[in-house]
Amino acid sequence: MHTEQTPHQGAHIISAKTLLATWGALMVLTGLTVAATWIDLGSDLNVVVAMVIATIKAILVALIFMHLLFDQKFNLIVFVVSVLTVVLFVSITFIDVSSYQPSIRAHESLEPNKPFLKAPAPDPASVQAQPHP
Amino acid sequence: MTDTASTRPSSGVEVGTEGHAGEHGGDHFLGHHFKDHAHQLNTAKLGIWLFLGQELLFFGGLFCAYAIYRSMHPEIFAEGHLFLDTRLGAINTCVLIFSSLTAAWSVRAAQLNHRRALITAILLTILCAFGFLGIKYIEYAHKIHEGLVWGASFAPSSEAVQHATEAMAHGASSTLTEAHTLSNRLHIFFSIYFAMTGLHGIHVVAGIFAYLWLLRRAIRGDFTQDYYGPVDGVALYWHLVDLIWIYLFPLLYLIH
Amino acid sequence: MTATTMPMDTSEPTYLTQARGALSWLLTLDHKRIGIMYLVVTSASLFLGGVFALLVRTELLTPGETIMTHDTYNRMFTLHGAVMVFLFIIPAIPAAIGNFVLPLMLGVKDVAFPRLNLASFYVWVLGALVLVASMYMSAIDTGWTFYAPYSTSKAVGSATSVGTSAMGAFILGFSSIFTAINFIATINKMRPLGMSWFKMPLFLWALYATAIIQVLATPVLAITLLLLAIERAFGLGIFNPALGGDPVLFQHFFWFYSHPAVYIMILPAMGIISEVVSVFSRKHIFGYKFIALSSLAIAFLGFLVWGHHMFVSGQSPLMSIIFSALTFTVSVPSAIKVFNWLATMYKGSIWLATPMIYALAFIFLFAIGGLTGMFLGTLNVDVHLHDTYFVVAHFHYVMVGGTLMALLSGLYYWWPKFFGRMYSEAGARVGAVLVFIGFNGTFFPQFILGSRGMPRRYYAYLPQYQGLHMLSTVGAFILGIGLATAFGVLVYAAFRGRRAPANPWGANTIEWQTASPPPSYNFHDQPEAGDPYDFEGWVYDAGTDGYVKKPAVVA
Repeated sequence: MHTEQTPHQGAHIISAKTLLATWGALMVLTGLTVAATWIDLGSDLNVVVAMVIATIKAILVALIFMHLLFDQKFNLIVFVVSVLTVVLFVSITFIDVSSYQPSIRAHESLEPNKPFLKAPAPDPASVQAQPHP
Repeated sequence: MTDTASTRPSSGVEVGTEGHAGEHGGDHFLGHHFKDHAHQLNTAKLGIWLFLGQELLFFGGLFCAYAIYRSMHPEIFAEGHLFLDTRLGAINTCVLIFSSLTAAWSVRAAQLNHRRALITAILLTILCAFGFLGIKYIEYAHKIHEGLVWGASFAPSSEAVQHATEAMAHGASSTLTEAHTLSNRLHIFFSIYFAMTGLHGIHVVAGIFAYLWLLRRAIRGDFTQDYYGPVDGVALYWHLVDLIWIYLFPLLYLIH
Repeated sequence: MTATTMPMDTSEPTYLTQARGALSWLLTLDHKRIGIMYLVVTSASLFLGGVFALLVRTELLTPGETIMTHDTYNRMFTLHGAVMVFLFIIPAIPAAIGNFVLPLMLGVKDVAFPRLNLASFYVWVLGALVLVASMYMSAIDTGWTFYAPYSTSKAVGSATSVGTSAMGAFILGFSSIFTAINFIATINKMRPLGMSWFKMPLFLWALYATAIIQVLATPVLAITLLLLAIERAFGLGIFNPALGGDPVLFQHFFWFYSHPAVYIMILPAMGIISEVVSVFSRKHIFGYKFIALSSLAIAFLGFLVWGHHMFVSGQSPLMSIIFSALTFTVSVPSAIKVFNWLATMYKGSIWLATPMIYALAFIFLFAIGGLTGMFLGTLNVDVHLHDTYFVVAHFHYVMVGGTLMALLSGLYYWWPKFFGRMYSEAGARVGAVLVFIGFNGTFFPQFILGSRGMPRRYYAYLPQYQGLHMLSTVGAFILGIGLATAFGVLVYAAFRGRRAPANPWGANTIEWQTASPPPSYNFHDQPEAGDPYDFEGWVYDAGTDGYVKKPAVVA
């Protein structure tokens, strides 16, 4: 990692090479994440792969584009703590919802596939479209 | 230090300029309560980071809703993503990642006192932001036209449904083998889609305003290697907008 | 250090006299003036919320209709809750007292981002206007909690302005976030030389912990209310079961913020008590590090217990058990604080000035409020007590008995610094006694009512409850008179009080080293940061009726 330092404030200037390399890596990973959906890994594993790639990209953006690697460490702490709080929120809620979900399913199975929306009025666009094909 | 009272401008008058001139020998951009530019920059950056922290939690609510529905009702995502255009999503991802590069470049240019490069980088970032919104507009217009909208208003046109069922039949999705009827909760996918991309889009719009403000100041020549905090701060915000999209793209468009 | 010992030079302009005219206040970037403006608007909110409370209590005087219809009653308790929570108690201590005192305690000229500070005030004003206007133009009777699906369905009841009220609270949230960002950045980056983390006054620790919660929790409320407003306007279906949504999910969203919000309300109050107890016992605070770190511990644990509001909501038994267990852990850092305050007073030379009277009231009432929280955190007991007056009494003991007492303690303590005037000790004590009697008269009967099964938020009730309800209503009016007295004494003092010395209490935190009221740039010279609870350096000076620095002893 090549970085220069200003004599003025100790702020890091990220070299052009590093910026371009990071961008290149992000583009490659974007391609990779699209390509990963072409392969069937089972829907669970596909999600995991997509999230791992997204997280690698996010880390690249945060550490290099957002200077966290070179910055005062407290900013990194702020970022990490915020992410962990999101994880806390999502995971605890998730545990609860998945624990009470079976009882909702049991209730809903009494009336399977009950429509939640009122039966849609015939869509004018589709009605008009019908003669054409 | 005894005459600070006279040099400090009366607090009521001065608004709209950066900090108070006065104690720092007429350095217009250094707040009177900071020791030096490095002190001001580091403090401002911490402020921005705290703001980004709250942004993460703000989006976190939507990610939570997403996670709950994705795991409890996976079928609505398997069906829903077939109505989205992966190609446009991928193009927008590239546009946003490129704008992140130009945003990072603008900070570098400011740090090196390259005014011209700074202005170019800001202009390119704004251009990408408009490009992103343009593509988003095409997507939204298409969705709304086909009745693929949020919640209670959800009324997909028969063409859209046919299109999606064909995609299923082609084996595009492994989880849908006998899917002939659409899930009764499919409208919630579009609620989540519009909530997430809509909130993200609002952040892009806010970013454009922030960059237009930077552009004006960059042209005026406000930024130097000593004072470039605003460029840094807005770039950090812009990277966060990019970072959110990095997750939105696979979560909404790339579902297997 | 000439500034500290010099009597106030009346010719030098203070922050109050430096600039005149309404605009010099409305456009000020001075943290002290912004703090005073917050004080004015939050006090007005307290008055408004108090009027609603008295109307609710008057209605409950008799089992049937007393002065209003059931619809009006439903709106009144909603208005009372929403105004008190969002407009008064969340911003009161951090935004009013905190804004004024925090930079002074750090010996700096201002908070890190003065314009963000002013912006937060106007965001607050905007949010308050939207909230209050939406309540008057239309009706909201959901309670301040906005539970789905009642809040999400347009057609039911008269909950017609949920959307706009939610947007009001949404805007208010950002005011709170901006203040918090400012406080964290200021404390992190602008502490003076010699003030390491563990030499900070405990009030700053409390504000810091509060700010962490505000930054991390408030945005979740914001997104919740935004989703609620959109859900109502466009029928998203995420929370609405009629559209296939999940109403329990709404409660998770809501309480992820609103439980930590309880600590946003109480932590700054605990910070004030830590200052006041030490100063008025003339004794170094006992267990400094434990009090400081327990603030952070409360902030952290506060994020793990939100589900105890949802024991009977349809939450899974698994999470209910976990949340119940975690709830008990919060009592540990809270109790650490209480015991340390008691230990500080032990063998101290206690000075029963008004701030100390309120601080003692705080400790007594908070102990009751905290301990009854243990009852409610116990799963099986909560099944009996949930949604009864027991819950109402519990959180009022914490919020009013805790936060409001601490606010009054803090106001009396820093009032000489705010306005350079002393209040009348006799009048203030009368107010304090009335508040204490009125408060207990209002809410203690409610514990009994609740344990006997009187549900909260009900308009009509069985005749057997009337005696206790009447007692509670009488108590509420005594409390109202007491608060009016307390604030009356303060307002009178601000204009007509005796001139205050720079340091009337002999406290050693930095804000007392400058004049009362301070000049707009706060300090003549960079003040010295020492041990904030070492009172040895100050001696009483009969001439100013205040404390002055001991003449330096030649070593």
